[in-house]
Amino acid sequence: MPEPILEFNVRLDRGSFLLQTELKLEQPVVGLFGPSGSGKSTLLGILAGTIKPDRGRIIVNGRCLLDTAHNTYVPIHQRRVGLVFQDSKLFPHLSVKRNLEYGFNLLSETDKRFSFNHIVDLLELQPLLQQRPNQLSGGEKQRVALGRALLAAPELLLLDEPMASLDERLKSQILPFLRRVKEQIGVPMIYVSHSINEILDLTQQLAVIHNGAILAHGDFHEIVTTDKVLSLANSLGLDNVLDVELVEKNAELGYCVAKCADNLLLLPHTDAPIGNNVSVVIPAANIALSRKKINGISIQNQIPGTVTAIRTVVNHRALVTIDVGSILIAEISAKALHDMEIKLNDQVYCLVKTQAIRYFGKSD
Amino acid sequence: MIKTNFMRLLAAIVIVAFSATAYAEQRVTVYAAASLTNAIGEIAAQYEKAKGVKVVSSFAASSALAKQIENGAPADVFISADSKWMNYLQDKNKIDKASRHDLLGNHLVLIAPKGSALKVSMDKSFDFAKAFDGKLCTGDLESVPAGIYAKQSLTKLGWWNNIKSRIVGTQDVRAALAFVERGECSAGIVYETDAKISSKSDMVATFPEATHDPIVYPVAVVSAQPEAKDFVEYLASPEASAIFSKYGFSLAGH
Amino acid sequence: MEFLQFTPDEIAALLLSIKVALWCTVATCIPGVFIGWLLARKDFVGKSLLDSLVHLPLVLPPVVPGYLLLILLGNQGLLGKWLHETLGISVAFTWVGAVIASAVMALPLMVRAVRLAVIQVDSGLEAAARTLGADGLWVFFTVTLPLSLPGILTGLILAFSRSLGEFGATITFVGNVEGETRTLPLAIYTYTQMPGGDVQALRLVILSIILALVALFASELMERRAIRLLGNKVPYA
Repeated sequence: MPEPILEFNVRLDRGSFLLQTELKLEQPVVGLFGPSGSGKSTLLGILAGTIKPDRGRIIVNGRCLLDTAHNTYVPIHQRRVGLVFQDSKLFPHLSVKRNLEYGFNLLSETDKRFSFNHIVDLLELQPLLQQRPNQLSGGEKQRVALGRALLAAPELLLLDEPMASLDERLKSQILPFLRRVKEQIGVPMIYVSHSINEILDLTQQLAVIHNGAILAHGDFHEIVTTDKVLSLANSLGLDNVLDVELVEKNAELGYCVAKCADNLLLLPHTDAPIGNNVSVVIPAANIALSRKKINGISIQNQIPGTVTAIRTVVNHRALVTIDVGSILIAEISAKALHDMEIKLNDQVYCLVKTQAIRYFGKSD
Repeated sequence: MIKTNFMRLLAAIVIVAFSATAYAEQRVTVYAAASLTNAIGEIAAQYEKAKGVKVVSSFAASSALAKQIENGAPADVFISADSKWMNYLQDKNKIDKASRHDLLGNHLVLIAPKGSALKVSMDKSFDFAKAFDGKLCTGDLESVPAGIYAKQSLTKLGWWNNIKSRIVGTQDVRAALAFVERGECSAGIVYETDAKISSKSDMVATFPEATHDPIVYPVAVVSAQPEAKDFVEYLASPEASAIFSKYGFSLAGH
Repeated sequence: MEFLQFTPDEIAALLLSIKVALWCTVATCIPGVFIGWLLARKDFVGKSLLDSLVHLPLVLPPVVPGYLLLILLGNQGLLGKWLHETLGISVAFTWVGAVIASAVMALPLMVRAVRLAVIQVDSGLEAAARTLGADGLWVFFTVTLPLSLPGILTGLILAFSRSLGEFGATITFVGNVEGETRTLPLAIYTYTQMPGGDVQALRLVILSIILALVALFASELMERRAIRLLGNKVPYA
């Protein structure tokens, strides 16, 4: 069995907040997802070394960074754990070039993993090199921060909500660069966000954190149906995310048609060309269920599928998991569940208004 | 009640801030050379007891006092440690010329911290500068009378050039004495009367009178207050003379 | 025009003042930066005590620290006696002593300025530097120090100016020795105590004012320069 890339077990008691987490990660790029206040940033701080836990053990690539039981504590500057902050934290008194070189110049030749020009080209930083951080836009700053962290040859790269302070337009600009880093660089990354959309854009592997504890980790589609995660679907803001292929467009009437497994979906209009794969988001609460196809209704999307799981959660809501080729989770009232007598393996139709569907990276 | 306590505090502050120092009915203010601190202090106490008039004294270098009187300081009587500063005030018409006369005499001596092995013979052939290490303290050489006398003696004895870089000038002769007592200076030049009252220093030698101007302490009335004349007369009385002699001052004739 | 003829004594006092002030600035620089940084960034047992001790010269009448220095470093002082007898070093009545007196009085000003400057540096930047592989010392010299430079410069100017104006501690500790410890303030005082010394006193008073204005002006220039170097933004957290 391959050695886990990251293994940790830490505890930090701040009185008003207790962080107790434990995780073994084998995937190179993992999202860490949780609502505000769940402990995401604290956990990253502990991994990077900027926060000291009460107890714990951290092993990165077989290297022990922290073991309170044996009094091992590798100081921050020796951990080789890179950190990209929400607000870039670029050094204001240095040019972009010098910012990028900061960690790079501290490495011996053998420790350097990437050449300066390689990263500059990858992140298209060439035109910015002589500028000062205060002359850059938010997105540019984050690219520089990313480049700076990479050039320091980290063994693990932590990204702490790096796009949180960017608007949607900037976010979609940064995303390709993150993908490039993931695909071409090969540094293990943990991407932290409170927005599941952001994470799923980069990776399907994620860990879910809530109230200082990791509830589950693994493939998104698997863990989203686990009890622990589902019971918090509301506070976690879980939406359904589907990958579909555009097959038809009509600018006049303002709609697109996309293929999802064997089903056709009617989507709002998008600029993306036909043939492209796009990701769409369908909030669980916007899916209604029916036993059969309904005529004379404005809802154009009626997707057939099989009920694979039913969970009743708090507030008299029920979450029904339906296999339509992909997994969809519908949120209906407990009463509806009861009245319709929905059972496992029932055939149902998922009714979704076109207007309720939105594209990844776009707000309503 | 907080409010009343606050008002009380405020009242107290105002009273203190605006309080005037209590002035006795009758008082005489004496400005005297620093070397007279102990003698005049004692005489003043006696005078107060005998006459019921309060004596307020200010002791400093004669130069500093002369400057203050020139600028209108409220002195009634001035006793200087040399003629130079009395002349200065006389030229500026700040004193009652008729009342001026020489009151006391003194000697100039070399002192060293107690227990010092310093031996000096007062002649030109003696290598004074080599006789000790460290600094020599005396009054400021240009203005303080003790310093002026000291420079004269050192020059007359031919020791000036070799010792001048090691001289520390102080603001008055008592400060020089204090430095020697504390051991900060290895030697000092002060008046015999200062050396006499000092228990922490040894008197090493006396400077021959021929090496410096005669040390005279002139006294004069400065203000028009009747108490001033009275006090100056008291300084010539047998009681005062006894005290001056006790401290080692010689008495000049009237 | 005759008024502007400075006597050799006066020029000596001026040069001595500048010399003492420069050395005082040098002497307070490293301890000032270190203690200012320590109070800004670290927590430790005795921190309040250190803070209070450093600030004492600010609130005490200057003769008090002067007198304490005399007890400590005078030729018969607790430490001074040993220095004098064993090492032959004596600071009493010397310009070195004047530098020490100035430095003690100027240190709190330096520490305050540095502390303020360091606190305003975003500690997140320092954390970021560490994650990039920089150890404590490197972070200090490449991040903290450059970003707190305007404040440090202010501190240095304050120390210099404070030394130019130092009187009470100097005269108590090292006396008023012409050419050795008679700095401008002491020279002015001496002349005011001397009958006929008013003209000299006035000349030196005017000179002191000019010096102070020059120092203030220089500090303004330096601060502006430093801020420009930081990209026209003071790095508030």
